[in-house]
Parts: sequence; structure tokens; C-alpha cells
Amino acid sequence: MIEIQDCTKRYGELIAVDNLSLSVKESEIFGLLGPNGAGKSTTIKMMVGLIKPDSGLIKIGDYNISKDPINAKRIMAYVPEKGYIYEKLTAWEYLTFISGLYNLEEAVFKKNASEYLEIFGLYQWKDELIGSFSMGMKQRLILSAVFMRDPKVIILDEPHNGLDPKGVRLLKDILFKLRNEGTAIILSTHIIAIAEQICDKIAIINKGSVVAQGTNEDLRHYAKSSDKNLEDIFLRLTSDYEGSESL
Amino acid sequence: MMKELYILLAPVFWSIKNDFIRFDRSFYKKIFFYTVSSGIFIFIITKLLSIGMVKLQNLSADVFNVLLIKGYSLIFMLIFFMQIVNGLVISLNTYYQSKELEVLLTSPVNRTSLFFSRLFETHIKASWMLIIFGIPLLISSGLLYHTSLIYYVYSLSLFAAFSIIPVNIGIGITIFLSNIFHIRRLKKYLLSTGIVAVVLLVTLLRIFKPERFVNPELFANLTLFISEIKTPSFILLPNRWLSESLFNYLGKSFSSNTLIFISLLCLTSYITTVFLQIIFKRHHYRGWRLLQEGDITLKGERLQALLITPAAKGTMISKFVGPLMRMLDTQSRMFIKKDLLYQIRDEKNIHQILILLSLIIVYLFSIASLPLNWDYYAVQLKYIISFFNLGLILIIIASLCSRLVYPAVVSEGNFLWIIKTSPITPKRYIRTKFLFFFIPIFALGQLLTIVSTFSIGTEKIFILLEVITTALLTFSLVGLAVVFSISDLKSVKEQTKTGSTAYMLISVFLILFTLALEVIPVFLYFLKEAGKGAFTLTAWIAIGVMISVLFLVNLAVTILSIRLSMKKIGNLQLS
Repeated sequence: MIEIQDCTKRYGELIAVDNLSLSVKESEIFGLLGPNGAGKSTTIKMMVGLIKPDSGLIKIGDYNISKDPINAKRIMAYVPEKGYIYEKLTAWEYLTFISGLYNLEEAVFKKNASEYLEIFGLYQWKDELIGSFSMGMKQRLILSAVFMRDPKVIILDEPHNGLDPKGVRLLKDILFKLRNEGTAIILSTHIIAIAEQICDKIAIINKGSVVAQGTNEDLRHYAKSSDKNLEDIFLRLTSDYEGSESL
Repeated sequence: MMKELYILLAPVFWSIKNDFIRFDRSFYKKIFFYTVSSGIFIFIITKLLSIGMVKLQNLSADVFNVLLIKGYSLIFMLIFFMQIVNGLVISLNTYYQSKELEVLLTSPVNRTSLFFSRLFETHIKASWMLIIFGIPLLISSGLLYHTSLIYYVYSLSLFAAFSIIPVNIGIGITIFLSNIFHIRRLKKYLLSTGIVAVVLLVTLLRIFKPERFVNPELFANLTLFISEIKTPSFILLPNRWLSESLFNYLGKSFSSNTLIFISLLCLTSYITTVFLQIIFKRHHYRGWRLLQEGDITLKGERLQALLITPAAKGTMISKFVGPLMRMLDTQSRMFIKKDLLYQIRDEKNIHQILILLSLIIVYLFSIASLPLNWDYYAVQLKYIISFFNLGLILIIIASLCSRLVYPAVVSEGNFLWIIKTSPITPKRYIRTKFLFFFIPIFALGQLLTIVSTFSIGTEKIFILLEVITTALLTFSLVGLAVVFSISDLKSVKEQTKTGSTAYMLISVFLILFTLALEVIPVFLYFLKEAGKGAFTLTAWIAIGVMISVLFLVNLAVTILSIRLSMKKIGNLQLS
């Protein structure tokens, strides 16, 4: 469902993403793991069309995001790392606006929007201005706007930011449910435990390139360290960190 | 208590000290700017007052003193009311919204010390009015009477005592209102009320025409002139106490009455402070607590939303907007609905609209008050005024675009990820933005043109020309506003906001170009009207060419602006 082939993005001299390739299938949760500045967000922004790659190909479903962005965006949903939303709209108005952008049928919209607002504990606040919401509530609203559309592809950039433990658990359960229904999901995170628990496959990115990708088992095999956990594998592959002994 | 008060005020003094000793360039620039501009303002006002007073003194020395006291009393009255508003607005911040209050109100600080520290800060912040308007008044009167330096010390002390009263009243009103309204809401109401008050004042001034008093010879007799200057001179009003105290000193008629007036000033300022302290102790904390609890009463917003959301079925607005909206596709409709809600709820917009409407009312009022008996003037004057009127209307449209379109588009910078990741084409996005602003601005432009040209009494053909020109320019000006704002459309942190200035420059250039194009047909028409020429074939060709050029230029500007906007939004990258 998501195909990235040899994508490169430069900012002047800096290579943010270097010849990166990866693919995500239907019914798969794919995790992008990497240290700060590794190129995770740039990769995600290229996938959703916020940034144009200098070279390479990105396909969402059957659509090339550069050549057929409208059709690609129709089947895709994006949750940004820092999602600003219209603070002077109420939660319900925001969802109505999003449903209009994606041409959702009114009956489907009303059913799904109410359902997800209820799931995320926002239904009683649906007529309040978003400006009065906490950061976590805003994040829950963005997630409701994404899930109510029932997209085929979901791209999430650090989706756990601002969520409380209950919200994190809720998100995990919904992602599993959608994965089981056939949705392709890609998410970036810096929380290794979350990647380990949620993702079917993980790509470890460092300095704009994929240094390793596969299942947890594949990564252990790659790191030739069966006794180590994902955190140790991650640190070994992305830095010169030698462990607490060096402190 | 004094030690505590000093500690509470110390951060204010330390901040100023740090700005001075650390040679912060921006601070020095600011100080330089304010000192120079206030210096110039004070100098000009003092000079103008001195000239006016000398002119009045020449009228009659006996009457002059009466006029002077009446005039000063009137100005003191105005300052008194302005200081009430000043105290009201400043205390919203010093007593409620100031960030350090969170620390202070949760620390074991004596409430009295807290009250006086805030009071001191409010009075200092409100004192600019005394400096700007008070100093010229005191200097010009001092110069007129060739008084000594003691007068300035005396008058400044009285002026300070006078100012304490209205500022205290203002603070009291804030504390009282904070228990009824949420402070943030109160601020919005005050700003809107302030704007409306300014409009009323300007309109009243236009009706009252104060410039008449500079030429007393226009009045039939002196009694009529003096009776026209109606000043509230009730004995219990502080402006009376101040003007009596000052002029008794200046006129060397210092008596026991003067002492009573001085005592009244000082006592009232003391009593208002005591009362204010009681009000503070009883009511301040509740208002502050309400502020901490957040603004959860959204009745106003709900009411606004009701006007345009589906719940508004059957209302006047929905009946009018509904059929128009149904002509659009779902995406555009949703965009317009969202923009409408967003713009209505943005208090900055409400203020901008209020200011603009006020200016328009004042403008139309001024146009309507022009001497319309054209027999007294040359026919040429009518055409010159009509021509200027057209230019001014076009400038109003450009300003409207700059103050409404530009910020509305640019403010979407933070939400661009929603637009860029949704299946909306750049064409549809730009078309919706253009339509959203074009329709109301076009309607307003046409209304202004028709009302003002009819008020001036311009010929029908000239009205038609102005209506067409305004319509064409509205397309271009809105198009340009969209393209310039799209150029600045980045996340709010990255915005340079230079587009607004660039837009105004280009707009003024386009307006001047249009006016230059229209000079020829207007001049030809004027010659015909004045009986010095006729519409020959060459004249008609010249008019045709000018109108065609005008049409083509504006068409090109509109199309290019829209296309460029689409290209820019399509190529926009959000890193």
C-alpha cells in the first residue's frame, strides 16, 4: 500500500533523506524508529505530500503522490507530530469541515464522528471551542478526524505525543483493529517500547538512510545479538553509545 | 508593609535597570523613538495652544479669562474620562492578566502590599496621558502668564492628584465587572466599545464643528459665542476643582476657595484609593479565580455559530446565504463555512471591521457634509472631488484587503498541513478563498461608490465610470491580496509578513495607474460640461482605448494573481 523507492531529500548541503526505500503492505503496522534528526519526519512529510522529494518515487495505493496527489490523499490519512487545528472552531465543526474536504456521506460522517468522539472521551465537549482543549484533547480530536474517515492508509508522526496512558492504550487498540481490517499503517516514534509492542515491522533510520528493517526477530538477527532487547539494538545501530559502562 | 511593597515593585525597577545597563539596542531604540515622538508632539501642541490663546486674548482681555477657564475645564473633563478608560484597560492586565500574579497570589504576600504595588504600576502606566496632554496645557498657560517654576511644580502635583481619581474609578470598574464577566471577554467588549466610542466622538465633532471657535467673528455676537461653548462646570466635578486651582494661582487670586478646591482634589484622590482598596479586598480574588477557571461560557460564540451552521435553518442569514452555498461543491462549501465561522469568532477581525466601518461612516458623513451647492464653485471642483473620491474608495478597498484578506489567509499557516494533506486541488482552494473575500468587498465597494457619488451629485455617466472602475479594481485588488498572502503562507513562526507592505505598494501603484488612465476621459467630459469642447470621434476613440486598457490590465492582473496563487500553493512545501 505504501511504496517508497530511492527517495532523496536535500536541504542545501544537508542530506535529510538519502536514497531511502521501504514498503508497507495491507494489514501491517510499520514503525519508523530513529534518533532526533534521523529523517523520520522528512520521510513522513514526503509520503503525505507536504514536501517534494528531490528524487525517487512514492506510491500510496496505486497512486504516485507527486503525479496524482488528489487520489493518493483521498485514501490516506495523516496525523502530524505537532498538529495545529482551528482553535476557533468547535470539535464538531472541525470534524464537519474535515468530512466536507473528503466528501464523506453525511450519515456515515455523523455515525463515525460520534463513535470516535465517544471512544476518545470527547463527545461531551463536541460543542466547545478547540482553543479551550488541552494538548491531549486536541491530539484525540485529530485522531478522531482521521479514524472517522476509515482510510486505507494511515501515516502517523509521533502520534503518542501529548496522550495520557489511557489515550496511548486506546490508540494502540484502534490501530490493531484497523490493521486487522486491512489498513496499512506507518508510524514514527522515538519510544522504543511502543514500536516493539505495536509494530509488525520496524525500520531503523539514521542520517537519512535505513540501517536495518524487518520484524523484531529480523532486527535481532541483523544485530547478531539474540540476547539483547530492541533498545540495545537501536542504540548499537544508530550511535557510538557503548552502554552505561562508558559513563 | 513598606519592605514587602518594595520587594513587590523591585522586579519592575530591576527590569528597567537591566535594560539600561545591558545596552539592549532595541530598548534604546524604543526609548529614543518614544522620547523624540512625544517631544515633537508636546512641542507642536504647546505651540498650537499658545497661538490659539494669543488669538483669543486679542479678542477681549476680560472675556479671555472666562474662555480660558472654560476651555481648560473642558479639556480636563475629556482627560478625566479618558483616564477612566485608561485605568480600566491597564488594570485588566496589572490586576488580572499579569503572569506574576500566579506566583504572588499563591505566596504569603500581604494583600494590602499587593494592592498598592499593582496600584502603583497601574498609575505609572496610565501616566502617559498626563505627560502627552497635560504638559502642553500646563506649559502653554505658564508661558502665557509668564509664571515662575513653582507654578509647574504646583500644577504637576495637582494634575497628579486629579489623575488618581479617574484611574482609581477605572480600576474599580474593572474589579467590579470581573465578577460578572470573564476578563478575556471583558477585554473584547471594552475594545469594541472603545472603537464605537471613538466613532461617536468623531461624528459628534463633525456635527459640533469645533473649528468654528477659532474664528469667533463667524458668530453674530460675543454672548452667542460664549454660550456655544457649553462646558460641564458643576461644582462637584474634579475638572472644575483643577481648573479653578490652576487659574486662581495664575491670575494671582489665590483665596480660601482655592484651598477648598485643592483639598477636594487631594481628599477625593485619597478617598477613592481607600474605597478601591476595600473593593479589591472584597471582589478581586473572585474575578481572578474565574479567569483561572477558563472561559467556558461560549454563549457569544454559540450565537454566532447559530447564524451560519446547519442549526440556523430558517434564519434570515441562512435564507440569504443558503442558495448561494448550494451552488458550490461540498469542499468549497465547507471551506467557506469554516472561514466564515473563523473570521466571525476572531475578535481581531471584529475590531478591524468595526474600525473600518467607523472610518467608512466618517468618510460618508464627511462626503455628505460637503457644500453641495455647486453654483459657488467651478464645475471643475466637482470633477476633482469625484476623482479624489474614486481614488479614496479604491484605497479603502486596498486597505480592506490588506487588513482582512491578508491576515485571514496568512493565519492559516499553522493549519496548512490539513489543506496540503487533503484531496483539495490548489485551484479549488484559491477559488474558494478568492470568492470568500471578493463578494463582500465587491458589495461594499459598490455601495461606497454609489452612495458617495450620489452625495457629491456627480453626473450619471461619471457614476457609471466609477462603478465600473471600482468593480474592475476589486477583482485585481482581491486577487493581488490573495497572491501576496499566499507568498507569506508559512507556519506562523516563519512568517516574515512583508507581503502586506508589498501588497499595499503594488495596490497604490495600480490605483494611480488606473486614475492616470481615467484622467483623459474625465477631462474630455469636463470640457464638454464646461462648454469648451464636444465629444468628437477622436474623443470617443480615446475614451474607448482608455476603458479597454483599464479592462485588459485588470483582467490580466486578476488572472495572473489567481494562477500564481495556485502555483504557489501547489509548490508550497512544509518542512
